[in-house]
Formats: sequence, C-alpha cells, structure tokens
Amino acid sequence: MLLRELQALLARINDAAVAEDVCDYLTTDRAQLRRWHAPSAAAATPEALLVAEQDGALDMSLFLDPALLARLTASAPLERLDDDNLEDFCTALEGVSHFHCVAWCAARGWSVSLLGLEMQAEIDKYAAAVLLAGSQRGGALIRGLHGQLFERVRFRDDLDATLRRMYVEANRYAARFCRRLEDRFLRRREARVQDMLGELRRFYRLGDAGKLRAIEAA
Amino acid sequence: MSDGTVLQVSSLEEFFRDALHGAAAKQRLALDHHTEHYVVNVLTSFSRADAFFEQTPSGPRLKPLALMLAEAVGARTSGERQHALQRLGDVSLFVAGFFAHGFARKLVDVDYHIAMGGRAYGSLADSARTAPRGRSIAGVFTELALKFRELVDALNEVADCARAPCHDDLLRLYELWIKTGSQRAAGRLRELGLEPAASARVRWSH
Repeated sequence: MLLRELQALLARINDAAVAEDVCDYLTTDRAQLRRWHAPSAAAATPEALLVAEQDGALDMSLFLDPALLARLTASAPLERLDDDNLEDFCTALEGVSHFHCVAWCAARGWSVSLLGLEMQAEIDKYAAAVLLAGSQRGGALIRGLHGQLFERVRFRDDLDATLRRMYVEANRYAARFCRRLEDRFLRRREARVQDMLGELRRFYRLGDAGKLRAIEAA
Repeated sequence: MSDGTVLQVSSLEEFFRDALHGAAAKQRLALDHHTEHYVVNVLTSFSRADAFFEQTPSGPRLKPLALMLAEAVGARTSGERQHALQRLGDVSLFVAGFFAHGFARKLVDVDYHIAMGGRAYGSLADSARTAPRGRSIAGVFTELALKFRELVDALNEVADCARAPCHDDLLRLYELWIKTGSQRAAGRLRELGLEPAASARVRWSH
C-alpha cells in the first residue's frame, strides 16, 4: 500500500525505522474523527493524527480522507511525482510523518511538541519530494519546490491566533533548514545526496529544542 | 553612556523603577503605573540567572521562543497556557530590551522578539478580559502588547546607560531602525549626524 511505502521512504531518509506499521493505524471514517476532533476541523480536514496518552501507553490513529487516498492511488506519485499530485502527496506524507515521528520518539521515551511534529513534517515533505523527483525525472520538480512548499502555504481559517502563529513558526524554521539543504547540497552540478541524508539524519535526532537552536545558529 | 565606573544601588527594584521611569519619560512613553510595576518586577526577577534561564542537562539555557509558544499551544489547562504565554512575553521583552545588540543578523533578531512577545501579551489580554477576576491584569497585558516596541526602546535606553559604546553601534542602530521603526534608534542616528530616510524601511514579517 502507498502509505506503507511512504513510511518506508521516511524511515530510509532519516535512518529511523519503527516497529509500527502506519496501515494498522489508518482510519478513513470521518464520523469517527468527529468523536475526537473539534467539529469545525473534523468537517474539512484531509489529514489528522489522533494521539491519546493513558497510564504510560500511547494510542494513535491516523485519519486520511478516502477521496485523497483514491486520487493518490490513481496518480501513483512514487512513480511520477508532478505538479498535479504534489499537494495530495504532501498531505498524505504529512500524516505519515507525524505518525512515524511520534512512534520514533515514543519508543525512546522522548517528548515531541506539536511544533516539532509540524516542522519535521515540512522537512520530510521537502526531502521526500526532492529525492523522488530527482530519481524520477532528473530533478525537474526540484526547481521551485521550496517556494511551492513554504511560500504558498495556507492555514485553516478556524485556527486561533496562538496556534496559527505556531504553524507559521514551524513553516519558517523548516523553510530556513530546507533552504540551507538546497544551498549546501543541491545547487551544484552534482547533488551531494549522501551528505544531505547525513544532515537530515543528524537533525532528526536532535530533539525539538536542539532542532530550533541548530536552525537559529546556521 | 557609562564611563566604566560601577554604579552602587541599594535596591535593584528601585534602580530599575527609576531607570525605566527616566527612559520612558525620555522616549515620551506613558505607562500606567500597574504596567510599570509589572515591567520592573520582570526586570528584577530576570536579573537572577536562575529565574531567567532554565536548567537543562547541558546547563542553564534559554529555550527558543518558538518552543515556548509550542508549550502554550500544548498546555493541558488554561493556567498552564497562560503561564507559558506570560513567560514568552516576559523573556521576549527582556531579551529585546537588554540584548538587542547581541543578536544582530541572526534568524531571531529583535523584530522577531517584538512580534512574539507582543502577540503573547495580546493573547493573555484577550483571555484575561473574559476571566471573572482578570480585568485589571487584562489592562496591563493590553498595554504591554500595544506598546511593546516602545517599551523595548525604553529598555534599550536603560541597557545603554550601563554599556560601553562600540564601533558597530552605528550600523546596528541603523539596522534596528530599519527592522523595527524604533523612534529611539532614529533619534540616536540623528544625534550621530545621520538622517534616517523613510523610503529605506522595509516591512518585515515573521
């Protein structure tokens, strides 16, 4: 299934395998989502990770809109990622990234904030799209990708000011990190993919505060 | 400016009250006495490293502002959320006021602190207005949110009284004025013989 392949791609990029299979935690039932999520958000969101911590155990469920999954299956982004399926690809990858990151951190007893999850998802989307597009079509999509992911970003209208600000911050920090990746590893005649992966893997293990400080210091 | 002598004060709180009062008057910044009292308390409290920094396994460190915001978002109770927002506002004010010269050309510059701190106090004001006993503190947070940039100017004045001038100051003053529109920076530039031109200012957003 596509989601399992996306999870495997993220595990390879970040050298961070987890035991949990995202497909075992997938739900496409919006009625179930409404029981746990704010009604205004549940009505429209195409993706949401539900997390509940109780007695030291973590319950998770990843909701993805069934229409989105159907479109992705038809457009096969792992074979051909292009401008037409990029948005759906990024939405699904964001959910898988959240799931994977929570599972990775939980297995190590690390905490992760919403900011950390959002920032990591933005970076995962960029890295996955760069690597896929690079292997599929000689990197044609890479030009302008940073702008598509980070500059033409939209936020839900129902977010309160503080939450919206946090999403803006996650986007801003991730944009800065990815711009630096692009400058250091991709803007040359020959892209240094292995060096970029090394940087991504180091970054993945820094923890929220370490990631923010690393970006601020760069 | 300081000539390098040590200033003896009997009470830090009194020193900050007098210094803030003088700097605010110089900047023509009118503050309600509750707000002035709040700011003096923040300055006095943060003059102790254990109140300003947080203890981490790598020693005392300051958490990134974005993470403080994330803590407010992830808070389980409204009390925790307000505490996180208040710390975000207080730290932003203190850092922008006293270390504005220290983070020149970094990703998180003084304008970022002004935006984050002002919004944090603004959110606190909104929550306090609807709380049964929050009306008086709502006034303080509202004033802090509305006059954050001017307050930073006044605190820069307090900080500069105790700091020796350096050669980078002119450039940094210009940069501060470009980024924040600081009236104090504009005034200092004029004193140094430079007329800041309005067309040079760029609107920055974070």
